[in-house]
This record gives sequence, C-alpha cells and structure tokens, in this order.
Amino acid sequence: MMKDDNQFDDVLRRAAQDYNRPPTVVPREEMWAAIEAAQAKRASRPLHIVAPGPHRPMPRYVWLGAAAAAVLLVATGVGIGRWSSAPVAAPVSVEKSRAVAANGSGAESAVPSVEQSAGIDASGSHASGSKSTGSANPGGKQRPTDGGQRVAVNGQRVTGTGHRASGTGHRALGTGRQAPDRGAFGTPRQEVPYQVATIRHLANAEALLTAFRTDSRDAKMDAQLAKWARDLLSNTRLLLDSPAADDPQRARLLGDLELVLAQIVQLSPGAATQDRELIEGSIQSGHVMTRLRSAIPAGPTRGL
Amino acid sequence: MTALRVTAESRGRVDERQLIARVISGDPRAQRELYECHVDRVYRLAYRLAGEEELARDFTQLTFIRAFERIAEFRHDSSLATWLHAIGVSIALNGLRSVKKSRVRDVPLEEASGLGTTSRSAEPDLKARLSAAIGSLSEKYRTVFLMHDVEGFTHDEIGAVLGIPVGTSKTRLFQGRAKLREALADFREEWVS
Repeated sequence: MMKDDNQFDDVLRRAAQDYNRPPTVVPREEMWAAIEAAQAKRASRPLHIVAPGPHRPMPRYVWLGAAAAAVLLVATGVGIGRWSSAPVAAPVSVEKSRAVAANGSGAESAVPSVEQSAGIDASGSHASGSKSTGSANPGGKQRPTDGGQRVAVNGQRVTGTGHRASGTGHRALGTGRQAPDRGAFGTPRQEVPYQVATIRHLANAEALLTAFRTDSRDAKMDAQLAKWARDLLSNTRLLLDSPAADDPQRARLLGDLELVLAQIVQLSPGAATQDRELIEGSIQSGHVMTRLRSAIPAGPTRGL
Repeated sequence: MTALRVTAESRGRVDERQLIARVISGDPRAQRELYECHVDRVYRLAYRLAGEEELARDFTQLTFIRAFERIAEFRHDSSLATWLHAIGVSIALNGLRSVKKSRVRDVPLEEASGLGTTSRSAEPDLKARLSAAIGSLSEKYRTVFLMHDVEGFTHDEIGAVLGIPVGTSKTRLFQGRAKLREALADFREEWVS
C-alpha cells in the first residue's frame, strides 16, 4: 500500500509539473520598467502632512511666564533707550501748544514751541531769537523782531520766542560732548521734532495751495481756504522763529510761503480775478509749489 | 569538493552582503543586479500560485518594490532569496485572496473526483482533474505542495519562507498529497499498475 502511494505520488508529481506552468520567457524588462515607474512615482509623492491635533489651551504658568518675559523685555528696552539717549541739560520741550492764530480762531496745532528759559545764557549769540523774514506784513501791522515775545498779526501773543537762544544755549552747556547728539538721519536730536513739524506743515501748505489753484472760483470755498490759510500762516511764523528755520533755504521757503498765505487770508470772498492772479503770480514767481514739493520727502507725510 | 562548495557559498554570502549594501545606498545598478539574480524564481512561484500571467507579473513587481523599500530591514538571518520569496508568497496569497481569482481551483473535491474517467488513454483528463484537485486544496496545503513537489524547494526553505517549522511543512505536504490521492483515487489502479 505504501509502495503504491509512493508510486502514485510520483505520477501526481510529474503530472503536477503542468499545473500553472509558467512561460519559458520571463518578462523581465516589462516588470523592471514597471518597478522603476512605481519607484519614481513613490519618490515624487508629496509628503503626508499630519493634521494638527485638537487645540489645547496653554497652562496658566505658561501665560504668566510669557507675560513676565514680555514685561522684562519692554523694561530692558526702555532702560537701554534711556541710558543711550543724550542727557539734555536745558529743557527744550516740544509740546503741543495751542497756537492762537492771528484771528483768534484757537486752532490747535502741534507746532513745537520753546519756552523761554531763564537759565539760558543771555550772552548767547542768538539772544534776539527771532528771525527777520523780510516778508510783507499783510495786515500792515508791525511784527517785532527783537528778542522777547512776539506779537502776531492780530496782536495776540504767541509763545516761542527766544528758542534760538535756548537752542544754542543748551547745546553749549557743559554736557561734556563736543558734537551734538545726532539722531538717525544725522540731525541733531533736539531739532528732529522741528523737522518733523516742518515737513508736515509744508505738506499741508502744498495741499492748501493746490486747493486754492483749483477750487478758488467758489465764494464758499474762499472762506474755507482763508480759514485754512490762517491756521497755516500762524504755524509758518512759529516755524520761522524756531530751529526749523536754521536752514537758510528752508527759511526762505517759509518766508515766501508766509507771504502767499497772508495774501490768501486777506482774500475776501468773491474777490476780483485780479486779486487771485496776484496771488498766483506770487506762487509762480517764487516757485513756491516746486520748492514745497522738493522740501517734502517722498512717501506719506500724514503719519509724521 | 565540500571545501570548495563552502568557499563558493561563503563568497556568495559576501557578494550578497555587498550587493545589499549597494542597494541600501541607493545604487540603481545594484537594484537591477539583485533583480536579475532572483526574478526568475520569484516569477515562477508567483505564476504557480496565481495561474495567470497578469497576476504573476503584478505579484513579482510588488515583491521587488517592497523588497527595495525594506531591504534596510534585512538582518541576514536567512538568505536573500528566502527573504524575497517570503515577501513574494505573502503578496501572492494576499492578492489571490482579495481578487478571488481562484474560481477554477475552487471546485470542490467531490466534483473533481467525479470528473475523471478510468481510461489510461485519458491522460489529459488526469491533468485536468489534478489541476482542479490542486486548486481545491486549502491554501496551506497547496502552497507547500507547489513549492516542494513542483518548484523544488526544500522543507528548510519552505519553513523559512512561510515562517513555519520544518516539521509543519512536511506534515502539510503529506496531508496535501493524501488529499490529492483521495481526490484522484479512480486513477490510482490504472496508473500504479
């Protein structure tokens, strides 16, 4: 029986050689090409990005630590800033003064005013402080140019005299420094606020003159332009007496601007065309618009 | 003679290690070399198990793709051929289960036993019924039978490829043969005599 089984197994084994007999030629190249393609496809497959898990609120101690770090950072920054900034002997305060305009409109402006300090050396070479612009006085009223307080067109007092003396004075005070402390643009730090105020003022003046040249045909507009010009005129005079006018070129521009603004202020509603042409002539002859645009740095000036 | 065989075997082992190292380092020529060394036998076994050209190709391709992906995990506990065949058999059996391509081989043994005739001249009938009987074997018997009696694997190799002890491989072969003898019993007298 066992012998028979072995014999039959041999028969089955021989017969089984035909079971699913593979072809004699193995398709090697086709399969290899498919393997390479699959590998290339797998290599170029993008990485699986795991979605972030559910949001877990940070523990309280993390918030406290972050807050403490933020406070420390701010305090360190403030400390470094104070330590590195120049000590100023004489207080040159740039404050938002309420400049009373020539007609007493009470418009608030941010023009820097310098308080006359008793501690400033009166022997300073610029004790007189105010600067003569040589411009016309549209109101026909005298503008004092001597030291002391200055009277505006309508006779009201305006602070801001003597700051040239103070500016020079506190520069000369014994801070131990030969060169004045300079800001980011190589400008003495004390003058930076004046420069900022001047640029903003010039930008406003440019806007006014542009509006005047385009919209001055309407009597209602004339009144509004006159009011606007009045505010700018007072600021112009303040700037003329400030360190902002140290630059001769800018001082001349402010002077010419003062003339034009004064003419606009005096322009009565419904004025004759001749009066308007006179103002236009002042603008053109002095190239005021061109000089204004040159003096205003590129970029937005509103945020200054 | 034995010393020479051992030397050749050890040299082959060294070459195989070097080849594997080159494949791991990303050398495409080493991949091709490994493929050429083993593709014929892997393909033959896949074809034996699948019985269809397309399935055999798919299973062989998948075997090498997976092997190249995982070759860094190869620990040299067995030969590379054994490792490759283990992957190939696993892929083929899983593939056959999923695609249900064994419909011809799923003919029950009773049905297969009724197909035959007693005529000695009906050798094609024997082969057809044998095919049906092998196909009707359960997967574990059929795999061992095909690997041992058809493709010539040793029990050691079968045990390594299937992950079963050598004794289990022998038992499955014995039981598989017994089932086939039983299914083709009506041919027995004729062919043994």
